[in-house]
Amino acid sequence: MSLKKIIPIFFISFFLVSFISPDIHYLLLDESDYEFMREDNKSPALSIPDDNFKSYNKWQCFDVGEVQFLLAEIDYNGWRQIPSIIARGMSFDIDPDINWDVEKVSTSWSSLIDGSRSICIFGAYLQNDDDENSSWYIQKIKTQNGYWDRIDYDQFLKE
Amino acid sequence: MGAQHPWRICPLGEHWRKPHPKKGTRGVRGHCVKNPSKKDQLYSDELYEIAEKYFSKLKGAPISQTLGYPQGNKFDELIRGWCKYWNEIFLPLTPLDPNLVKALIATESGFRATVKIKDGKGQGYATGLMQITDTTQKILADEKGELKDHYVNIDQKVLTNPNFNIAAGVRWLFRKREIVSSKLRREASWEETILFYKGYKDLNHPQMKKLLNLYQRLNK
Repeated sequence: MSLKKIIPIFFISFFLVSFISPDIHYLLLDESDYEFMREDNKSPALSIPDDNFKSYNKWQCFDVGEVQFLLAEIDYNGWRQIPSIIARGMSFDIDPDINWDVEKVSTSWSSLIDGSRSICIFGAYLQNDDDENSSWYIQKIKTQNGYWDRIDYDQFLKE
Repeated sequence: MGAQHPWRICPLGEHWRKPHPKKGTRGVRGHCVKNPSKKDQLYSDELYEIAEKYFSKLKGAPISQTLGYPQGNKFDELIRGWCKYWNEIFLPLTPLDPNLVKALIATESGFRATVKIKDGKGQGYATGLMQITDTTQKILADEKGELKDHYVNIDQKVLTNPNFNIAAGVRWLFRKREIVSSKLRREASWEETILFYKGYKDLNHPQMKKLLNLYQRLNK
């Protein structure tokens, strides 16, 4: 087959796959991300010992246009706001144990999605909030621009 | 890695996050959270739960004796509880005596929980009963810093809370003892540890003499 035929076929297929399948966004993840998940999944991310509840972190990828960044309001030693991402009824929050500088986190997330088409969130399910919505906690975020990792929390603390 | 302390709510390498309201939901249920480093982290929620649930039932030192301070006996339960907890975590050959911690608090803050003094090194403040410095508070929570395990992750703003302050201060004493023992190349005594904690050079310093005198009074 000549190159003249291959190139249009490639572009048409790419367009169709990206239009039809949301799985295209999972192409953002590479082997190291899956390896990270395998290692992380050796123990649950969240658990409730009395209920025998265990939840593991997993990658979920979305079109950037599908996600919404907002501030969730929680009463955790006083009412305050924490950065949160909403996607397909799932509310991905960052953990409230840390005194986050909301602005620093929001700026970091904004620059992470700037120009990126896909976003992958590594997080664990906690509970259903109602029939359509559920609460999750974020551990890591990946876009075409790089990562945000909760383990680097010391860069995002309130002064 | 040893077994988890029986007072802890969550398995080893996880910490407790209390139930809390979240706008637009029925509220978030309480749960255990894996620490990214998988090391042991104590957050204020759990410090609170432990003290509430277990400390009132404990008996033993420190002795009920005000040492001449109006609030001298007010924190005995917390001193007793956190000394027991950290002694059981680190299992030192000579356990830390709660009477010594009480004498230390007497000389550090005079049992004034909200006292805040400029740190002698000009690096912020020393706060509360055990005069925890801002630097110490950061080290105690820093998984990438000098502590290898058993972190106490509390906000600087809550260091005036007697429970959090004593929990952190006693944990810091165990770290100081590690450092002095390594310098001396033998297991340091708790008096030597306190000397280092206070930043004095020898036991004859007037403040150290005062502390040891108070300690003797508690041990009579």
